[in-house]
Amino acid sequence: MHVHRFEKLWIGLSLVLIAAFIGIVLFGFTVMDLKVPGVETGETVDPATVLSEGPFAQPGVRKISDDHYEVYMLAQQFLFRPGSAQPLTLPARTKITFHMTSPDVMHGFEVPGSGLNTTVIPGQVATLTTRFPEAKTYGVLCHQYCGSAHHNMQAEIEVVPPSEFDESNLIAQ
Amino acid sequence: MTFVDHYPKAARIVKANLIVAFVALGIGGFFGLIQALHRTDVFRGFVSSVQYYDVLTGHGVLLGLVFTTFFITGLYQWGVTRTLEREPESSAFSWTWFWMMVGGTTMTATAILGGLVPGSGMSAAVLYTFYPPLQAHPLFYIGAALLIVGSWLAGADWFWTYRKWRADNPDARIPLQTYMVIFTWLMWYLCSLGVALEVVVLLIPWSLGVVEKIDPLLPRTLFWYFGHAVVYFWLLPAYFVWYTILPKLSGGRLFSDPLARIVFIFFLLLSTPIGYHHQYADPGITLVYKMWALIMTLVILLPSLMTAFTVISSMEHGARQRGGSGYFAWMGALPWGQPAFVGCALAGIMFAAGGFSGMINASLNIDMLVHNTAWIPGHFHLTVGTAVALTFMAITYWLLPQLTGKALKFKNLALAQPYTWFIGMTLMSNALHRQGLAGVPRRVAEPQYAGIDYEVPFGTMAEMDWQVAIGGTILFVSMVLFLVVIGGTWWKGAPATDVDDVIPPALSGPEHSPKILDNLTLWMGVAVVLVLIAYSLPLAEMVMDGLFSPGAFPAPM
Amino acid sequence: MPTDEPEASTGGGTTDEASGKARDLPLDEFQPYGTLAVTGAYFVLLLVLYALLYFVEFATHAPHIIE
Repeated sequence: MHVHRFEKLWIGLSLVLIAAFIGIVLFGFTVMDLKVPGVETGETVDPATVLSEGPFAQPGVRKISDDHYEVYMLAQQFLFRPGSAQPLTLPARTKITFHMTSPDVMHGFEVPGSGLNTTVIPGQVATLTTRFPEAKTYGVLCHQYCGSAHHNMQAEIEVVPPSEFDESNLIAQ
Repeated sequence: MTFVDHYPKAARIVKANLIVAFVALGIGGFFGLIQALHRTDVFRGFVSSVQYYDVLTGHGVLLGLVFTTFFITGLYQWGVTRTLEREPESSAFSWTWFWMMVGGTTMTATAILGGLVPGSGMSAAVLYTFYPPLQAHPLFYIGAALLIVGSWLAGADWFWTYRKWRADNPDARIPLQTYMVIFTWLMWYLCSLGVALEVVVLLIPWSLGVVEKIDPLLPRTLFWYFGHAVVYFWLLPAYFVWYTILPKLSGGRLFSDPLARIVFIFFLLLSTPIGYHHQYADPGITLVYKMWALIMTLVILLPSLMTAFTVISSMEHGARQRGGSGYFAWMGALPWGQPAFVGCALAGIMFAAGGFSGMINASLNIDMLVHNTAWIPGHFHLTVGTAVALTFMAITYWLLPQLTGKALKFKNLALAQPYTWFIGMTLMSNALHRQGLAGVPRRVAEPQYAGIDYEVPFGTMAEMDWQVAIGGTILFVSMVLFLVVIGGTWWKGAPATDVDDVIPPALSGPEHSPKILDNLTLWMGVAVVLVLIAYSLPLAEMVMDGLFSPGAFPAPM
Repeated sequence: MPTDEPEASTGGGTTDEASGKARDLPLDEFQPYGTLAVTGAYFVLLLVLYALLYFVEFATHAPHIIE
């Protein structure tokens, strides 16, 4: 088969490019801790009963240890609970694990301009862990079309220095 | 004497398909203008922010599914007929698939447009991806199913012609255009099976109320089983044009026929088992499958990068035959005054840029930065919205005289059209990409949130909004130019005397390649195995806990 | 009659005047240096832009999903 030597060279370069991209992604994933949802997965819930049974019946922040809190959050037409009615307060530089699900349709969870991004699917629990680097207010929006008022669905996360974090609003384990 | 004289039956079918495609383009393109102005808050007088989602659904379905599918069936009917030199075996059969597709399109469009008519009792604002539990009117799903089944029959029509040709030519190599048609459609059968199962087995019974609840993840996964391969279903016909016609328009010949065949085999094999890369941000999909999709998706860069080389070198061959020289200066020798060439070439340049943003999307974790942001429409308006759509428009300038026997009218408008498209898309797409980096979401009527202050990496939000609005307007004007040229040629074009319809053979022809490249059974078999590896386990997991559970109730929009 | 038949180097039936063709360039005389230059430039651009987006735009903009 006739393949010009320049073309052979180009195919070689293309393979280098592909290998480089895969390498960069795997390096970021393992060394730089740039992960995606689905590292912990497999949990399902019944959308019909999720509002009345289990941890999502009481959405909010729970304490696991001094350096680790978890947030059970509902994304539903057209608000995040907690986060929309009033800001969700969390400590900075502390490990935070979000568990999210939806009782109605698909939603999205995005902190604009960052790597926090997940789809929220009825029946599935989206779990992801992060640390907010600094004390400031982060916006949250729903990026998965969820109905007529989709563009009103937003929340705020108020991140405070760990010393100022008020634990009186936590939900008992 | 040209196509319409040799093959009058086929020419009628091709023209009917193109008419439907261009009507869909006109309506869908107008919807695009509405969105560009509404999102950016430049003008919100056409529709309310609730109706925005009806318009958005119409834009996606009419352009992504209807315009593309009908143009492709028209283009491919032309390619099969001219290279196998046979009229369709049965006109009745050809018109059956055409009218089935038209019927399906009408039903789906009725359900979507019903949402804009108060009191119609109909709505389908579920967007082009129609994720349940958002529920559309049953007509939406039934129409979509008919459109897909109609396209399957179109493929069956061409296989029928191919088999007849093969009986007469037992040892001949498959002509390149027919080869590309066959491989595109093998891929299409394999991938559209997913969406057909989703719609027929899950969504139609659910939308009719036969079953009450639905498991949202399973149909979503079946959609993306189809949803990435569909982009190659759009792209391969553009490659068909770039490989087989663009070299000639450049004044040269295709550099390598064997590599073109290998590229199409790659796409058959790799298009479908990579759908998970649209679900990188999903819960319920294990990391292993996301990693598998990462690798397969980046490997599919290879056939596109190979295409870049073959297509550019074919253009360079034309440029050098036209007297061009130098490392870069040869590009000046290309026919930048010929609308069909200009459209294809600018589409190719845009595709190089869109290819880059696609590489970012494909790269697992960096996708978290841009997933479901404006970056994504920024990306696919370069790929399907320009590489595909502009190629289709441009090649129509070259095809229409062959199909109607009339000379192209308004040649200056035709020449201005691809340039205006390029300018409009440059403005709109660069701004959408940058907005996406700042986190501005896609598919939102009003992306201005009270509590969110976007950090813009380059430029300002206002400047980007204006680029989107102005770019969208220029694109709309460009589309109108296209429709004027086509309509003018069709109704008022002077009879053409010397229609240019000759395609010279490749520099390196199929005789330089092994016959195994033409072994359809082998390649289809490998493709099926790769799909089974990627999808059988996760689909089994989702189905095992019950086809419709964990079940969610249908939700109002 | 239009044709795609592989009679290599017959030149096809293109009307030379219409295509502005100055000469006929057969396969063994055609060295696509221009293509090599264009694709080479694209290769470099891809690597640089990718690295910029990944390590600057993405990796420095915390918070990220860390597990």
